[in-house]
Amino acid sequence: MNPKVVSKTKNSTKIMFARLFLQSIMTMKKTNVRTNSDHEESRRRSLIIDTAAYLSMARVVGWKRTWSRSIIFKIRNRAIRKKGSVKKKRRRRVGRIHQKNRLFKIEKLRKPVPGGEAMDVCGLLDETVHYTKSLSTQVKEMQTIANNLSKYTYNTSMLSFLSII
Amino acid sequence: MLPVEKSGARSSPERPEPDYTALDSLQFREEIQQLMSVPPENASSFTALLELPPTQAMALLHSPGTGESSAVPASSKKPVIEDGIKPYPHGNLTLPTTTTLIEGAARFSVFARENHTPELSCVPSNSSANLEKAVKNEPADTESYPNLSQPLVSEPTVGNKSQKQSPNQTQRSVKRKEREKKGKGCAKKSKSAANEGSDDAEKLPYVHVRARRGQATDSHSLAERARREKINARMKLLQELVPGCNKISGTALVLDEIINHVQSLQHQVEFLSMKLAAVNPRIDFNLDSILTAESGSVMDNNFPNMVMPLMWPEVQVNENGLQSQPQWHFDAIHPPVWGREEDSHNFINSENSLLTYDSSANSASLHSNHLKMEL
Repeated sequence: MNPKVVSKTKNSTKIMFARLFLQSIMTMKKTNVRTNSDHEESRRRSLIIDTAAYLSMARVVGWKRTWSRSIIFKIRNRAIRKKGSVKKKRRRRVGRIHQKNRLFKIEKLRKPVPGGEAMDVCGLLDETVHYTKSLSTQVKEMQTIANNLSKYTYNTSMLSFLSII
Repeated sequence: MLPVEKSGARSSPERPEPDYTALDSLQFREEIQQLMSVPPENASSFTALLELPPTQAMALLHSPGTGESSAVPASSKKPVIEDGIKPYPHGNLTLPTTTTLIEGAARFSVFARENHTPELSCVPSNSSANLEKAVKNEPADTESYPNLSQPLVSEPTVGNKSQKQSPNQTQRSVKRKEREKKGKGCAKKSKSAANEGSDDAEKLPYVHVRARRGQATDSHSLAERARREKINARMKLLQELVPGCNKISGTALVLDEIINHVQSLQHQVEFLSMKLAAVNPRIDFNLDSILTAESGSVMDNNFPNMVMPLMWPEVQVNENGLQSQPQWHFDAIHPPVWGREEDSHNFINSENSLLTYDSSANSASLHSNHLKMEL
C-alpha cells in the first residue's frame, strides 16, 4: 500500500466523481420539464441532483461493489426515491443470545447501505467500509462544487448587476 | 486447563535449549516440557485464542476421542519444524516426507501413552497453541532463533489454507505482528492489516488451532473462525474510518456510531443537492458558458480519455479573488437577474436546516471551507 498510489487514486476518484456528477446533472437538465409552482420545481431539482450525485458516485466505483450496483439498478428502475418501492423480504439471522445486540445493530446497518439487504454480515461490513469512504469523498466534492458555483454565480450576477446599473 | 498449565510450569521452571538437529524422542519430551512451561498468563490467552468458554474447552480437553485423534497432527508438526529450520530463511516451503511424519506420529503416540491423564489431555488440546507459543517465545527470549516462528506460520500440514502462504515478506510481517501480539500478552491479532496477503496469513494460526482441535468440529468451526476474524477486521477498519469512534469500546456502540455517520453523510448529500438545486438555474448558464469556453485545454492536458470537459479547476481559478461572505446578503437583498428569489430563500433556509439536523462536523467543515475560500 503505497501512499502515493492511494493519494493518486483518491484524487482521480474525486475528479471522476466531479466530472460524472456535472455530466449527469447536465444530461438531466436536458430532459427538464418545467412545473408550475416554484417550490415543487426546486424540490424536483434537488431530487434530480441527489440522484445524479448517487449515480455518479456509483459510476465512479463501477460494478465491483454491491452497493454501487444496487444504486445503479435502483436508479435505472426509478425506484430510488419512491417510498412504496418493492422491498425484498429478507431472512433474519437469528443469533445467539449474547450476540443478539450486536447482530441487531448490524441489521440496522442494512438499511442505509444500499444493496445491504441480501448480504451476510461480513460482506455488509465490507460494503459499509467502502460506501462510507466514497460517501465522504462525495460530500466533500459536493461541498466544494456548491461553494464554487455559488461564488461563481455571485461573480456573474455581480457583473450583470453592474451592467444593469 | 489452568491448573494443568501451572503444574507444568512448576515441573520445569527453566526452559531447556532444544537441539533441533537431533531427532530422538527425548527431544520431544523436552519440547513437551517446554510446552508445559508456558507461563500461566498465556494459559488464559489460550482460552481467548480458542474463543470458547472455559467449560467447553475443558470438555473438549477431557473427551478421550479428541485427545487421541488430535495427537497425530500435533506430532506431525514437529518434523516440519525441524526440517524447516534450514529452508525457511530462504522462503522455500518444503513439504516434509511422509516417513518423517509417520515417525513423528509414532513417537508422539508412544510418548502420549507413556504419561497419562492430565498431561495427555493437556497436550493435544493445547498442542498447537503451545507449540506456537513455545517456538514464538524463543526468539523473543534468546534472539537466537529468529526464524523459528516462520515455519509455524507456513507449515504445510495445516491443509488447504497454507497454500495461500508464499513470500518471505508476508511471513516476516506475520512474524512481526505475532511478536506484537505476544508483547501485548493477549491472543488477539492486530487486525488492521491493510493488504489481503498478510490478512490471509494472519488467520493461519487460528486455523491451526481449529484444525488441531478435533475432526468433528473441523470445517464448521474453521469457517466460523474465519468469519469472525473477518468481521472483526472490518469493524476495526470502520472504527478507524468513522471520526471519533476510536475511543468507543463495545461493538454495539461502534455500530451505532457508524450508522449515525453513514446517515449523516447521506443527509449531507441531500442537503448539498438542495443547495445545488438552489444554485441550479444559474448553473445552467454557467455550465454552458464554461463548457463552451474551455472544452479543449483541460481535456488535452490532464485527461486524455475524458469525454466531457472538466469545469472543476476552472471554477476554482475563477473565484480565487472573491469573498464568499457578502454573497448571501447580496443574494438576499438583490434578486438575481433571472429572477429567482425563491432559490436564494431556499438556500438560506436549507442552510439553517443544516444546523438542525446535522452534527457539528458538517457546519464545521462548511465554515472551514468558507475560511479557506476567504483566504
